[in-house]
Amino acid sequence: MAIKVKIFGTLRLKSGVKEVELSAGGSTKRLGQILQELGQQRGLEDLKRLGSLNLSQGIPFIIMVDGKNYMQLRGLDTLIQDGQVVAIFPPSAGG
Amino acid sequence: MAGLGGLGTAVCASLVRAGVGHLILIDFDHVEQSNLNRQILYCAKDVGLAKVDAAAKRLFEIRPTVKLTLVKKRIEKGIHIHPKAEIVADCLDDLPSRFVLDEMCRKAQAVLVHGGTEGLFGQVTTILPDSSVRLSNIYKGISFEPKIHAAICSSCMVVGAIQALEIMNFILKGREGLAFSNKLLSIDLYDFSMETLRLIPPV
Repeated sequence: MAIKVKIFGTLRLKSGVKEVELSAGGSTKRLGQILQELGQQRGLEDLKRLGSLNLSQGIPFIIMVDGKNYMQLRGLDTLIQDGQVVAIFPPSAGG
Repeated sequence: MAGLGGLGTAVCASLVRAGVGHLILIDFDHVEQSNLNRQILYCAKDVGLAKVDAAAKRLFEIRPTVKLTLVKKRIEKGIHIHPKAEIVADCLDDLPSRFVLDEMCRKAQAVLVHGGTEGLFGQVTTILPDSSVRLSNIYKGISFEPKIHAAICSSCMVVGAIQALEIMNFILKGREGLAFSNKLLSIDLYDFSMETLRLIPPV
């Protein structure tokens, strides 16, 4: 069983996919690493440069791990293992 | 009804036609020409009117017996939810004021039905007053860069219709009838798919 990364909202237009499976190889991976891998794989510049962003100023996505906001876990250092679900979406904040 | 833009006008129209007795409309803004592509209660001759007045005029034309309370205010710290409001539709268009509204609802013990849209995407979630899942938890870590959102009439009507149905769930069945408490509905109108994400309360 792999790590499932679900993509929502306008990020689907940039990535061209709704879901990607990545492997933690039977161990764990940092959330930041998973998102950078996704960025490389799908050509998503915002995700590729995630490691260099100042998280305290916020990023343009909501990221959830099994239904919990990543900031309530260990941020990009949250360890993810096969079988977990990461959801990523820019919020649809207009009305 | 917090916000009378694309979502708010769609929610109001649905609820008034469904027979809801009393709505409190809150918006500080005036109708502009650029609103007419999606804000379904307004017409060209309404440009320049306060949105609460233009919306009320149209809603009374739809159903003269509806009771409306009009509040020309911006949602910001220091204002309070009307004490009679049991359920609030979040139809605002920026995150900071949505967080203020969420906090006002928590204090007033009112249910919040949050809706948002961007292009052909949208989302809906319902926040119970005593839940530890707040909008500020869901959006934690998000940047507040000011942004003009691409809003499309059809998307507003779909998201607004879902918000209105959730409000009807509450009116007819109470909190047990709510579909989206601790859940986030994500709507994709490119391929007409919807997916519900479960939200786990923070410890």
